[in-house]
Formats: sequence, C-alpha cells, structure tokens
Amino acid sequence: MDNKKSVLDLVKQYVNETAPINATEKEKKKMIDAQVILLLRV
Amino acid sequence: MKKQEKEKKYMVSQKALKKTLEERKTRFITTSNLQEPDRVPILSQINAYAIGFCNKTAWDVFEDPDLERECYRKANEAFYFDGLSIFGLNHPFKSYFDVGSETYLVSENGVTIQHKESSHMDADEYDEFIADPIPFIANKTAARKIPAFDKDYPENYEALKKLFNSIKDFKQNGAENRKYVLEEMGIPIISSRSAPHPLDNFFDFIRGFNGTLIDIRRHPDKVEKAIEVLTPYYEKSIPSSKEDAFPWLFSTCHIPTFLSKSQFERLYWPYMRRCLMAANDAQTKYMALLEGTWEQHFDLFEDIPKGAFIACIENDDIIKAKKRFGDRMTLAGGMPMSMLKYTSKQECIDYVKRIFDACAPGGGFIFTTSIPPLTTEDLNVDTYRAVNEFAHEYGKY
Repeated sequence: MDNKKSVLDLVKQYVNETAPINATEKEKKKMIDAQVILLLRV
Repeated sequence: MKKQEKEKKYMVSQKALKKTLEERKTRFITTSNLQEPDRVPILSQINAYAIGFCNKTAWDVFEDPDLERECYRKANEAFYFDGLSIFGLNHPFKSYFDVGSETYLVSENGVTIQHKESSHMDADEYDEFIADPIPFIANKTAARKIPAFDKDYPENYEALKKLFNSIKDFKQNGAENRKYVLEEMGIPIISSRSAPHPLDNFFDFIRGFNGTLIDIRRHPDKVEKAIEVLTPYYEKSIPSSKEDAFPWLFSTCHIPTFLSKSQFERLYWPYMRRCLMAANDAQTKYMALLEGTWEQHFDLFEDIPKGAFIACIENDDIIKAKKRFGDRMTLAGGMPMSMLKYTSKQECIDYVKRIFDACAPGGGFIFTTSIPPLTTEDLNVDTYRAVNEFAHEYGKY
C-alpha cells in the first residue's frame, strides 16, 4: 500500500465524512470499529 | 367496484391478515414457552431456493429488490408456513463482487450462493492480531481480500464509500422487507437480529476453515486470546435491556460440529451461553442453528434456564433430543431435506407422523427442514407441499 492510504485510513475518512456533526471522538471510534468489522464479511 | 366498496374490502382483508399474523406469532411464542399452542408451528428456511423457484438467477435479483421480494413471496406462499427464518438475500452479494471480493460465489446453477473457503491471516500473525484486531482486520484481512482497496487514492476510497453505502441500502431494504412480510403476507419473521459468534466469524472470514482448525489443535491459547480480543466488537448484538418476547435473537453456529467436547467448552460455549443468558434476562429467547452434529456437546445444555433456548437440529436425532431436553428447551427440525428429494410423499408423511407423535406433546416443538433448501434440485415441490399441509393438519393439538 505504498503511496496509498491504508484501509483503516479510508474507513476513518468515511466515518469523518458521514458521522453526525456532533459525534464525539469516542463515538466516531466506535463507528470506525463497526465499519471495519463489516468489512470482515465482504 | 366503487371506491368505497374497494376500501371496505381492503380493510376487511387487512383485519383478517392481522388476525392470521397474531395466530401465527402466538403459535411460536406458546410452543417456545414449552406449552401446547393450537397447532405445531411450521417454519420456512427458504432462502436462495426462492430465486430458482421463480426461474430466475441470483444475478437477476441482485439489482432488483422488487423482483427479489416477488421471488421470496411466491416461494414462501407455495407451501404452508407459520413463520419465516429469512426473507430476501442475507448479504449484498453484488456489492461484494463489485469490489473484487471472492468470499462468496454464485454456483453454476445461477441460484445457489456459496461461501468460499479462504484465509486472510497467516499462522504466525496471531500476536499482531491480538495486539490490536481493528488495524489488523482493516489493513491485513480486508486489504488482502478486497482488490478494489489496492487501487490508488482516491479510487480506493470511492470503492469503499460505494461499498458502505450499498450495505446501508441493503439494511434499509431488509427493514422494508420485514414490514412487507408482516403487513402484506401476515407472517412473522422469527428473529429480530443475528448474534454471530466471534469464533465463527474468525473461522469463516479471517483464518479460514483449515487454518482455524489446525491452530485450535496446535496452539489453542493463541486462538482463545484472538477470540477474547475480538469479542467486544460483537457484544452490541447481545441484548442489554428488556426486549419484546418475540421475535428472537438468532445465531447460526458453524464451527462446533468440528470441535471436540473440550474445545467447544473452552472456545465456543462461554460466549454462546452468554448470548443465551442475556436473551433470557432480556425476556426474549435465543435461537441457534446447530449445524452438523452436536450430541457431543449436549451435556452443557443441562443447566440452560427452562424455556430460554430454541435449538434447530440438523443431523442430531430430534426424538432423542426431545426425550432429554423436552422439558427445558424448544427443538426445531424434524424434516430431513434428503427425504424431500429422494423418498415418496407417503414415506415423508409417515415419517412426519412419527416425529410429531414424539416431539409435539407438551409444546416446545417447531417443524422445519433440517437445512435450508438452496436450489430447486434440493426438494420435490409436490412432496414438500403435501408434507407441510399434512403437518398443519396433523399438528393440531
């Protein structure tokens, strides 16, 4: 993944763009974890 | 017909549908409380079979939710059922294929969707996984199995965004399907949500069939630790406060049939028991598909609270299980899929009669197939129709 964002970075970017505006960092972390777990089944 | 008359007719049919829905729900609730309902409830496990039943392919329904709904409705209404285990595809498979994933495949018959054995973690990577599973799953497991993520940025991000958005749409479609089944078909779906076991997911999606089973034998401590660190991400599926008594919490148990009694007791039973007890505390129930043979693990079921567990039996002897656990748990099953394909209508009916005579008394019994039918070749339609019609009549208490 040289010169590329890691998959975790991509998930973080997605959560940052789609999370409710007032979501706390802790809530965002939970959302990131949940999205990563979703990737398991893909 | 005048508008007013049409509306009146619609209201009458809606009222009748609601009544039928309540009767069917009551059948499941009563039997799972180990009491005799008016009839033995009959459960559908129809999944991708519905697609073949309507002479369509998986590819036809992947991008047409209306067609998917039509297929599942037609197939489920072709036989007598009181409840459904699922209605619609259980994954947004097309979205998975679009990012290059090979986790699933559509069989040559164009209907059956299969899970493909694969491993996305090496035997020497346990320490890294255990140190922090989330970066590992994202940057190793997902990166290895999803080729679209290996593209340059922002192409890879666009692929990820499209994938997540399609999963969101898929969940929304699932919710709409659920509403449709209740309101338009008058039939309940027996589970509200799924509680997958972390070890099953590790087995299915991370280390694979061979890898996990070898590791359990060579270094069980590492596997145990990996499951321990994975568990917190699955706990949100476990009820934490009072829930509706019905529908139930549901789990499909994949790995236990391959485990010895001691392996099961150490690596699987603690979390499974936790789900079961949490469902019981929340005043609902835990239903599990016991894939394969489980008799080797049955001793552990002795201390399950009365009425807390609904076990779907695949290969175990349901009559034997009823004799042992009939006073404390509900058993679902009774119709081996192979009989619906290879034996005569009368032989099947005689078999069902024997099963009902042994399993229906006292309640705690749901009639269903041993496994879900996956293709039209799995069963003879006339036989299955006759079996369920007979079961509906003979199952009257």
